Amino acid sequence: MLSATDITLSFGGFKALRGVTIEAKPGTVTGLIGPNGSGKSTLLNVIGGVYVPDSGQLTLGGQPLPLGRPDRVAQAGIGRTFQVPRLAHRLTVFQNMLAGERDHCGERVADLFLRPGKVKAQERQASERATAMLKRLGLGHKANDYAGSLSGGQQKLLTMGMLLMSDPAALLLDEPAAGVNPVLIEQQVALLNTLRDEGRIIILIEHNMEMIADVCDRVFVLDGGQVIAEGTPAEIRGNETVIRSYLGQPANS
Amino acid sequence: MIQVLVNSIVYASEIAIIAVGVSLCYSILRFANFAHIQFAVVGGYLTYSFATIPGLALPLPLAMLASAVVTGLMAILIDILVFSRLRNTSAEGKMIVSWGVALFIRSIVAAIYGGSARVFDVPSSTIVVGDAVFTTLDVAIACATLVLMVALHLFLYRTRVGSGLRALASNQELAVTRGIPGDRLIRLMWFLSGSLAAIGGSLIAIQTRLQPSMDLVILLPIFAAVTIGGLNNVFGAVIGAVILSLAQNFLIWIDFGSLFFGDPWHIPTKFRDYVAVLALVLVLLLRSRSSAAAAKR
Amino acid sequence: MLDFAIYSITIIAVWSVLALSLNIQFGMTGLVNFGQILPFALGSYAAGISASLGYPWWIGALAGLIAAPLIALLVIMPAQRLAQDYWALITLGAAEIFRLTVLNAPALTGGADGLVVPRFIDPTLAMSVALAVLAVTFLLAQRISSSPYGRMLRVLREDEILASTLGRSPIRYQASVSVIAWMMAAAAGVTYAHITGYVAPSSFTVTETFIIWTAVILGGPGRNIGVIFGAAIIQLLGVSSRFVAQWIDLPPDLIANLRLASFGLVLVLMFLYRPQGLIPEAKQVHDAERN
Repeated sequence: MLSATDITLSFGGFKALRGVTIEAKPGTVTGLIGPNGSGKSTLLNVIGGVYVPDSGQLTLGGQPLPLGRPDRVAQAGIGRTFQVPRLAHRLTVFQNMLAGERDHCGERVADLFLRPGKVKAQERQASERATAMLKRLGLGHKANDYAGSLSGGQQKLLTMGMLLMSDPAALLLDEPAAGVNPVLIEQQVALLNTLRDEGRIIILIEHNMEMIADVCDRVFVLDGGQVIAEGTPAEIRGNETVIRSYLGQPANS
Repeated sequence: MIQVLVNSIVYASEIAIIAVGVSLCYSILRFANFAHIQFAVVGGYLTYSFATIPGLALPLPLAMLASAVVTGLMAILIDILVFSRLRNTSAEGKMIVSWGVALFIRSIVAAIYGGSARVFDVPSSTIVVGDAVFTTLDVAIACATLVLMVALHLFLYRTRVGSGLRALASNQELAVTRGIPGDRLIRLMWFLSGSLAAIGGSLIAIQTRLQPSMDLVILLPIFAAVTIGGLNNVFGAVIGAVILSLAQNFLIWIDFGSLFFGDPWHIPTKFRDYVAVLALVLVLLLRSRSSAAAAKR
Repeated sequence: MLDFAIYSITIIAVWSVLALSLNIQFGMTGLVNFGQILPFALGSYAAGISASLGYPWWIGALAGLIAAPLIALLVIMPAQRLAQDYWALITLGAAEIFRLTVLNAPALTGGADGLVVPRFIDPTLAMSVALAVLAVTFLLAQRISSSPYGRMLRVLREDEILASTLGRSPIRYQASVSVIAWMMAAAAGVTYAHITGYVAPSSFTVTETFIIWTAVILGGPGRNIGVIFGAAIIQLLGVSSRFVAQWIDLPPDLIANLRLASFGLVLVLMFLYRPQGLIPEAKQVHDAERN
């Protein structure tokens, strides 16, 4: 289980998060919704180690997670994507995928020069997995294109692929469907369902209510840096407070 | 003690007037412009030329004014030819290009004027206050800087154009969508920082001497001052210059020998430049500590 | 004429090593090192000081190869987690501090006059040594460039946050690549000291750093063979302009300044019109058949 307990964070005078507590269980998809500026992305950045919270704890499977260390959080098995996809634009799609490989011995200088055989073996293994993954994501034909030349939707798929290369126990996904065409969205929903069935923890920020209703098992609603409601998608839909603060707006805003 | 203060003020004045241009540029275009140092060198040489070329021989204040105008225009020209075409290049890229520009200007100046030192012949008399000795020139330099800094402050905070510049510095996109003429203001910024640097460079040249290699002498103190003040804070650079100058002069003045060992011993004057780099490192260490807490981007 | 060719090749080899060293720092990793001359100077002075103390050459070489990575770690420590502006300032400052220290400690370093180092008597031997150092450096740089390590360096260049969310600690890569690169430059420095026969602070100024930068930007940042090409062009321009100066009887000062001005111009023009360099970084194409 991935849990964030009583997280607070302020920037200057602005309180972005005021005592937020959420939990996400393995084999479930947990949705985070709320109006813009409600603190969803900030919360994801805290869990991912990009921001250091003023107070609060993070745990994964009962073990405390380091705060403010994105590299250590990733090593602990938590992968994440960003709202605006982060990619190495001047490397090919395939190279980006390989960069997702965890604990690559070919990235250690000593192994690189002293154990070339071992490096080659792991590189071949990673290449095979990357090839398979790209095929699964429908990006097989783009393997040797520069990542920067992909469309926005394809870039989002690629970041997902890089994440999956590291076989993470938990995935933090920031608006994977925004700006993506309907065909790719369907593909992503199918992918999310598979990942859930594999027993992973998934936390999802999304404005697309249809997608939330489709894939989420549990939803937390944030507003003004606080959790104002939680429940199944159906419960949330019927919640008065939520309707007033958020769902009152057109669903696709 | 007074002597040290006087020395500090004069040195801080010369550094500050050049350093503000670096932070003006950084605050608006977001890159460290190393060519700025050369604006000061060029300014010094132009002042020298305007003041000494037979037939022209302007009085020194007029020569400095003319030099400031020409250097300011040169800064605009460089922006038109180089930096305006690199607005979308990364900050690192612009910084590297600014070195290319610096290398070019420096070598051209050295090719035209040669490597030997020139000295301004400025009449000045000595003033004695208590046990401090200084010259009317020192007073003039400090006053000139004070006047210019106050003028710059009034310009930035009391005029429409100035507030446009500040808006540009705080949020370029927003400022431009609000109808602030970005390009024209950027040109103005180049003119301002170029001409201020020219005056600063002239003051240093008048007080010490003029040489193409003076850029290396002032490079580190200026960037240390700007870093202490926080790169994009214009008047932070002035405060940085004062802090740096005080640190440099006091460290040399303090008799560490008597303090610790009983025999008088001072840090040799030639170690002044170390203070600049040391200050730079200290500030960076503190900053990396504090920025570790906040996200970098 | 043959002498001239041997001399040119020797000098080009030394500067190519410096360019390769900067290339793995900047071209691959995106680190802006404005003090690239520092590890070169460390190597040269290690050779010079050990020679002046009467030690054999290999003591100096070893000292240089040990000192450079240690100083590298010391220098980048304050810059970690900071933007590249600050890397530039801190490396620039470190190089200047070293030069000032050399000037101010004449007892050890000979001050402004420098130190005498035993010279290769035979220019062909000098050339061979320089080429051997270049060959080793080139192979190392190529191995890094085509490896998973080099790939992660490039990811770091493109986006540090991406690298850290992939579970990599940016500073570890930045530190290790700096250590390797500074050792390369120190090796060049040791070689250079034995080629010219003396070391003096005037050979290690900011200007020299920018000659290396010009070579890298001209040749193609990120491409090893490109930056060697860049270094060759820049150095050939350098030695041939000296020739031209003798020929048409211009003052050597003037020629030196015009040469530097042209380097500055080259740097600017490349950024304006061909930022990828003459020989751009190659796309690493994955051949599915090979697996």
